[in-house]
Amino acid sequence: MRLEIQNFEVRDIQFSDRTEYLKGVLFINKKELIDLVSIDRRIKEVDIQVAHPGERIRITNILEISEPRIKDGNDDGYYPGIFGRLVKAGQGKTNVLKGSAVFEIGRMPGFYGGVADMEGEGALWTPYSKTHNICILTEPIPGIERVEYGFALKQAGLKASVYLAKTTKGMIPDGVKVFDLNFPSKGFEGLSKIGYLFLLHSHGDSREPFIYGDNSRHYYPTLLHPNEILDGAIVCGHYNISMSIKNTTFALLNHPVILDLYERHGKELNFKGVVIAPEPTSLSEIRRTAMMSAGLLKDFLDVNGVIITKEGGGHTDVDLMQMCEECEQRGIQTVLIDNEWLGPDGTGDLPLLASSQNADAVISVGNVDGMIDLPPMDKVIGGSTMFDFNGDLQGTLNLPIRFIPNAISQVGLTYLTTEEQ
Amino acid sequence: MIRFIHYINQFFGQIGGEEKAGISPKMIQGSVGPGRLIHKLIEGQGEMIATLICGDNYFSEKTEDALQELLKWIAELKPDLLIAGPAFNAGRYGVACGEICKRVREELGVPSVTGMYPKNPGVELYKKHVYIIETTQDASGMEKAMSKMIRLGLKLVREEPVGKPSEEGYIPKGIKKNVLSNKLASQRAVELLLKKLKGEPFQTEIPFPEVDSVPPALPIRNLRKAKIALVTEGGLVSKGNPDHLESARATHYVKCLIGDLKRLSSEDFESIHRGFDTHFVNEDPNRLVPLDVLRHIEQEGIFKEIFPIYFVTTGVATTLENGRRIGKEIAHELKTGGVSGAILTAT
Repeated sequence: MRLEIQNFEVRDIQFSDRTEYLKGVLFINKKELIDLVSIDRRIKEVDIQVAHPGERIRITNILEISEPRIKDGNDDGYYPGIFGRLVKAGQGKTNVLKGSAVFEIGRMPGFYGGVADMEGEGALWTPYSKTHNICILTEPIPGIERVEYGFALKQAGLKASVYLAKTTKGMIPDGVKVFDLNFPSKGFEGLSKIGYLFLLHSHGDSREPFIYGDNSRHYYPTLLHPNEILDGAIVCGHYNISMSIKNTTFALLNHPVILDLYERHGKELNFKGVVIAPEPTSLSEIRRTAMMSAGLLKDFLDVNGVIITKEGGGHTDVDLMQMCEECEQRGIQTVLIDNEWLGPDGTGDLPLLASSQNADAVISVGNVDGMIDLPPMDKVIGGSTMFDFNGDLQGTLNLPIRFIPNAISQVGLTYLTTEEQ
Repeated sequence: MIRFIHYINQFFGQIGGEEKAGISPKMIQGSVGPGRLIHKLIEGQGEMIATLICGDNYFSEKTEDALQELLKWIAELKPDLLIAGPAFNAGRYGVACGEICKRVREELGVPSVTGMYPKNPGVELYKKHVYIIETTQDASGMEKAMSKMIRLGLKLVREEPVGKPSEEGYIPKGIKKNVLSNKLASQRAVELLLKKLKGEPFQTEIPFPEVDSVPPALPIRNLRKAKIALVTEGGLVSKGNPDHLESARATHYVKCLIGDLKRLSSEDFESIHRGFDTHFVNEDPNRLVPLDVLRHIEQEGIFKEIFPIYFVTTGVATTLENGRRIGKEIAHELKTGGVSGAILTAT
C-alpha cells in the first residue's frame, strides 16, 4: 500500500471574495464557508475566524482540531465513512494544507473546551500555536442532545477541512512524502520487528473516536495498515472528555509514533504494522481484548517489540497494563506512553492508576493535573467563558495543563514530560 | 546580618556518644563543633546566634517534648534560618533534623536546610517537606555539605529562586514538574524500545513505587496441633511503654507477655499509636489484639495453644525499609518459637 502525502505549505490565510490557494496563501470566501456549514440545522450562529502564529490571541472552547485534506485525482472526498465515501484509506495521493488547522468551537454543558494561546508563555505548551488556525464557531440549537451536537460539530469541521483543501486539487505540491512499508530493501534481515498497538477510547457516545465512520466500541482488536491512520480512517469523536486525554484528528493524521517508526523503517527497525484495539469498560472484556491484541502482534505481525499507547483517563491505565502484560508474556518487549496523575503540585505518590512489573519502560507525557499560568491576551476567539472553568478567559489564567490541546498527547505529539525536583 | 541557628545531636555537640544519646535539649550561645564551620562560611553575611543540641534517643523517644522546648527557644531567638546537621548516614539524627526543619518552617515560618546521605531513613520521610543537601556517608564530606547548605539557605532567606537539585546539590524532593523535553515523546518511545530490544541499559520515565507481592503460606495442615501467635502494628504496649516503642515512624518492634492471661486489660495495656483514634482500643485492648476470643477458641480445642508473647510495632509513616526488616525479624522469632499460624491485626 502506497500513500503519497502532497504538502501545500500555508504561510498565510486571508479572507477574500474567492476561496483559493495561491503561492502559500490560503484565501477564504468567508460567507461561502459560513453558508456551507450553516446548512446543518443542528447548529446556529456560525462564524469563521482566523488566528495566526504570534498574534496575541487566545482561542477558547476548542472541542476538536483537524487538518485540511482532500484526495487528489478522484472524487472520494476525505475522512472515509464519516464524511467522504467509504473507501479504503491509505493509498493514492492526498493533498494537505500543511501549516494550517481547522478548529471546531462550541459550548455546551458537559463538553470540555480547550484553550490555545497563539503567543507568549501558553504558546509554548501547544503545537497549534505554530499553525494558521481556521476557527469554526458554532452554537447548539436549543434542546439538542449532546451527542447530536457532537455529530454536527464533527460534520462542520470535516466539511470545512475538505472545502479548504479542494483549492489544491491538481496543483503541484511544495513537497511529497511517500509511505510504503514494502519498499525493496536488502537491509531488513537483522532488524528488530516492531509493531504499534494503538488503544482507542470506547466509553460511549461522545467519548470515543470513529473508525471508518463507526464507533470504536463496535470493534474487536484488528490489524490496520499504518497508512490508513495517516490518511483519515480514524477521526476524533470525543466531546465530553478533556483535550489532553483524547487524540485530536490532527494528531491522528500526523500520528507521531507511526511517523517515527516509518522514519526508521528499513534502517534501524522493521515496522511490521499496527493493531488497533478498543478500551472496553469491564475487566473481563479488557482481558479478552488484551489477549487478542497480543495474539495479533505475535502470531500475525510476528514482532519482537511494540509501542503501546492508550487513550482516555485513569480507567484506561488498566487496559494499558493488561496489554503490556499480555505482550511481555509472549516475549514481545514493550514501551508504553502514558500521562501521570500527580496532583496540582506534582507531589502524588502513585503516577498511574494501574501498574505492572512488566511496565519497566514508560514514557511520560506530563502530569495532567499540573497547573500553568497564562498571561492576558488582546483578543479571544471562542468566547470569554467556558462551562467547565470559572473566570474571564481573556485575562491572566491559572489552570490545569489538561485544558491545552496537545500539551499532553497520549500518542506522543508533545515535548512535555515530568522531571523530579 | 542574617541570623543563623544550628541544630546538632549530642555527638556533634561534643557532649558524648551513644551513652549520652538520652540528653534533653540544650541551648548554647554561638557555635559548637561543625557550627564553627558555619561561622567561618557566613562571615560578613550573617551571624551564628545559637546552637541547639538534643540527644538522638531523647528526640526519637520524646519527640513532642523535645520539639516543644526547641520550638519555644527558636521562636524567642527569631532566627532567619535554621541549619540542621548534616546528619550523614545517622538514622535517628537524620529523622530529628528532618522533623525540626519541617516544624520550624511550618510553624514558625523560618526557612531551614539540612543534609543527609541519600540512604538515611530521614530522606524518605522528609524530602518532600524540607531541602536536604546530599552528603557523604560519614563526616568526611562536612565542609562541602555545609557550604552547599549555607548557599541554599541564603537563597531561601533572600527569597531567590532555587535551582534544580543537580545545580543546588539537594536530594530531589519527589515533586514532579511538567517540563519540555528536547525530543517528541514518540521519538523517545521508539528510542527506548530500540535500547530495550538491544539489551542496553534503559530508564523508564515513570518508575512505580515498589510494591511487594507476598506469596501466602500454605494452609495449616493440622489446626488441632497448631500454635497461634498474635501480631499487630497497632502500637499496643504494656502501660507506660517501658520498651519505648515509637508512636510513629517505628524502627523496631516490642514483645509483650501474654502468659496465661484470659484477656488484655485496659489497666495493663494501651496503644501509643499516633495514626488512629486510640480511644476505643484503650477502653478494650482486645479489640485490637483479640486475645479474649482466641482464648475461647483455644479452650474449645480448635487449635492447640496461643503463643505466650504477642509482637507489636507502630505502622504509621514507617518507612518501607524499616517495615520490611521488622516483618522479617518477627517472622524469624515466630518460626523459631514453633508457631504455625499468626493473626495480624492492622489499624
